[in-house]
Amino acid sequence: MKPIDHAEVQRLNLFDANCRLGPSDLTASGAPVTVPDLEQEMDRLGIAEALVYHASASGYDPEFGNTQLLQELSTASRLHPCWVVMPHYTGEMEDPATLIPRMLAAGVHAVRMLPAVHRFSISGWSVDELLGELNTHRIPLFLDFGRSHWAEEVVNYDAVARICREFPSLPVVLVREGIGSSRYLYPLLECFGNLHLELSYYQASDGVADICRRFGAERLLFGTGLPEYSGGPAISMLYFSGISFEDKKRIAGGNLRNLLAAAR
Amino acid sequence: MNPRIVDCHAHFGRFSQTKVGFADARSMVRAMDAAGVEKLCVSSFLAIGPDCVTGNNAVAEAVKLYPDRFIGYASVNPNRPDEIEPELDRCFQKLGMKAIKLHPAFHRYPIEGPSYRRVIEYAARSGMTILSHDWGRPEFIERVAAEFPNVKFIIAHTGFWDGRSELAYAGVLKRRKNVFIDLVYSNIFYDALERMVAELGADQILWGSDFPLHDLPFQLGRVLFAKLDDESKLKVLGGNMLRILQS
Repeated sequence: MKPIDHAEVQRLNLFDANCRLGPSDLTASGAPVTVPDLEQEMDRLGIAEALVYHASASGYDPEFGNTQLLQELSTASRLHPCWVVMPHYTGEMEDPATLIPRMLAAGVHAVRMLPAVHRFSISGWSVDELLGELNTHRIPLFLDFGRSHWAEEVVNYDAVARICREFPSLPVVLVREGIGSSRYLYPLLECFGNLHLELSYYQASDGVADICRRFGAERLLFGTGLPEYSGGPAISMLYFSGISFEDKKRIAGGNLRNLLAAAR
Repeated sequence: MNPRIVDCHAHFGRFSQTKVGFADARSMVRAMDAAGVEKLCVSSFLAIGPDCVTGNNAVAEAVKLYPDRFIGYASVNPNRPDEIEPELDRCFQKLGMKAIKLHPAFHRYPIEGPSYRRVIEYAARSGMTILSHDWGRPEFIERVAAEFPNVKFIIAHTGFWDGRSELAYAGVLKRRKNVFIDLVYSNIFYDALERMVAELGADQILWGSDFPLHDLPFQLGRVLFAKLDDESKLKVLGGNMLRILQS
């Protein structure tokens, strides 16, 4: 067996793109849901930083959870906030022209949308006002369709393609895509350079290396799905992927750091 | 820690529902070498699907090419009951298979049905191992495990357990030492393996990957990064499966 060299894992400078803070209805007791517990688990695994959204923003109310997120992260230097957003038409969120500048001023450089969980459409008549503002500020959009198994048909890929086409300056990140998505993802990655893939559930054999070969390592972002899911598998997949160390570093965190730095 | 890693649940060939990265024996061995996996116990996707004979032949070819790296599972189609015994005879007497793999879901046939009964009785005649995609009700697997104590029964995909609810087969495993569970599942829930070992001990838990459907290192990470002592990891990663194969 080739054991994992934890010093080499550290050198990857891992930045988890898919991490959640706070208790949810899905986390087992003992899972790391507080800042100290999450940072302790990151230390155990060798993860340097994480982009986190709040469980109350996804499972209860975005405004409520986003506020809670900033409070809980006030002294956490390794955890970076990601707000959960949805269209403003029902009055549950501020209009995008107000929300986005306020968000940037608060140091939030990424957003997550959960259209299935929050029951809204990602067609133009529903999300384009918000996406237009995100596109202007180049704020990465993490699209989470609530996938719980790879065989589920939960993603509207036509709508994803439309978003990528209509908003070419918007970095779009699909999260929790699984092995059953490859035949959708490859043509999307071919067509749209602003589309990225988060890797916490994309465990296609040779998938990381193959996407690197065809589309470039900059299209992939390391993520774990903590604290609902175990963090080790995604590290192991990247570690043994067979790609160059430089490409591993890009996927491990370089790509995400670049995306967050470009948001302004 | 220097474990022998033996995958109790892997496959061979292409898969209708998605792209498979390593679809031939040579590339699979390269992937195994990269991840430090010594042996794969494989069944063919073709054999657990539409064509048992051609699929079993493909597994036999892989085993012939790499006898130290692949261990073959024989698969049969329960919807063609008259072909079961002849195909098992062919697999074990001519093709060198070592165990049996069943897939009631793909073949849309109940695990408690008479065709599978014939398979279990066949296995009992020489104390074989049967891995099944699922074994249905805990009461059923407990009953057949008691009736056929020389057969080793592996319940696949128990890694689906999320660590929150009661583990359905826990009672069976505690009472029947010829029943094992494998960890193969796409979702790897936080601390679930640690909870499983705490509840059951490590002697009846087998690591498997579903490779090449799933990424081998991704599934390995479930054990490599687990908060378990080295002895438990050694058993789960391969020690238990080697013991089954040698018995």
